[in-house]
Amino acid sequence: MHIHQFNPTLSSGDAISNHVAGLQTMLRAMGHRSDIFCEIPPASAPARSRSPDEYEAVSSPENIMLLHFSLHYSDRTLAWLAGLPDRKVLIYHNITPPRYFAGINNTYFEAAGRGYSQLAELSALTEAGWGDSGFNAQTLRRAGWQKTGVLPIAFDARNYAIPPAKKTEKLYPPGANVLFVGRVSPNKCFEDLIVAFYYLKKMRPDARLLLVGSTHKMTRYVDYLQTLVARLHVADVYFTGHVSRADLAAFYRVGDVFLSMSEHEGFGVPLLESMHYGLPVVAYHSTAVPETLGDSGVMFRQKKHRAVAALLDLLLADEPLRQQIVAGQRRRLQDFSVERVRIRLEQLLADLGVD
Amino acid sequence: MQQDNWLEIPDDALDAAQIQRRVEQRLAQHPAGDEPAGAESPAGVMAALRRQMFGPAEEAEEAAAPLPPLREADIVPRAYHIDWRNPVLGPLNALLRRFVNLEIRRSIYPALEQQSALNRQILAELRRLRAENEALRQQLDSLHRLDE
Repeated sequence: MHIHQFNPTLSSGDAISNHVAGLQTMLRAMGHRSDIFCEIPPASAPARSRSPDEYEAVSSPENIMLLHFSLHYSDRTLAWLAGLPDRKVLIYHNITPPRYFAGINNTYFEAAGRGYSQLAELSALTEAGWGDSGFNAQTLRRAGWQKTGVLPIAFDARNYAIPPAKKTEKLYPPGANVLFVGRVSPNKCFEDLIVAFYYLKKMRPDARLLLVGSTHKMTRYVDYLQTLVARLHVADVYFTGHVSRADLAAFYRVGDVFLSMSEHEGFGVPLLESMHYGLPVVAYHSTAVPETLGDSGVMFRQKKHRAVAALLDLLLADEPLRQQIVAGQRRRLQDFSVERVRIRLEQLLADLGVD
Repeated sequence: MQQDNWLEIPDDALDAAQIQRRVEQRLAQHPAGDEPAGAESPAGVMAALRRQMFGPAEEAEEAAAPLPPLREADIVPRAYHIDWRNPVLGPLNALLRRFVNLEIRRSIYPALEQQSALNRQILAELRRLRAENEALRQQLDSLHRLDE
């Protein structure tokens, strides 16, 4: 059977792009013919893609097209999809609510708003909607989908078999490194990370806060964060910007604890990455975070910054406790193995009548 | 310092109550920060700076909301239609209403047309300014990136 995928574009190192590539491998291993179609040709990508114009040759009501959706589609794409006779399933990766971008990045504000308003239209075009978390699937039900499912993002350790950048490892030797990985975006509440670190720095003068993620198109927000750092006179806060995969591996290696204050996550791939690299995860209990952590990690329900700092201080001092947390996380990580996600994919396809 | 229901530790292998006690002990060992008396707390600084730089959240959302379509700039009631249902008094009533409506149109419509034209002009200018503002922000963004 033909089961193809559509994503507006692909880019190297992007979690969704890796997920699309991984799904293609799974679908082909199941014996299906599977290609990836992108509206914008990718500059570099983890998998080869084709243009939507090429789809006409293979289009058929017998096919299934998996549509990856994480912000919004162009009018041209929507019109193209509406005209396809193929069966369609939406795979929803979450849209950050527009309110987080108001006054910070109006382009994202409008794009996110447009995306939310497109969900209702997409629910009419597709026969099912899959979220990569129960949280995302719930959003689809609210938007009108009757048939929903959960297809988690698979964690493939082979994608992380990269030698860490030695230079980065030397710059930030482990000991008291608090790490957060994720693009600098208001929903991830970097300001709360900084305030918690302010208190930790008083308890542990040798602590560092490593904020690893792209600052692209978030100038105003980054200005706010850097001004906050200056006003609080807190040292050793590092914004790395976008980093290479080798540098990312190095940051995870030198990190001692992963801290998230994010208020909105659709899944949280860095949580899985932290589990893989053996960093205990301390996270604000919100949206999809508890679901991804499952029965592992440490969460808190209120942002009491001093108390969070005391918790980090405790974990940094207590190696046996850290290892206990990490052991639980390693068990949880197995639930996102390629094999388990493949079984889940087979179940979801079976629900659609695919053998 | 009581931190009821503050921590959520789903791993049964960990003693959540003990961890919470140990956190509280650490808090007791490290009293609240050495900010001068009367100074704002770090969380207060965070919130105040956010308001100062981005404005109140509701205002920011309102300011970023999509502009209405151009057709909504037109406030002249062009589709107003006078009709009747009553077969006897209806036509008389309609005639009277048409006469009144004609007079109202003569006095008010020029002002409504003028306002509609102004609305369209303002909306068009707002769109242009928003696009220009966003383009400038992106230029600034790329300049910042060059600095990195």
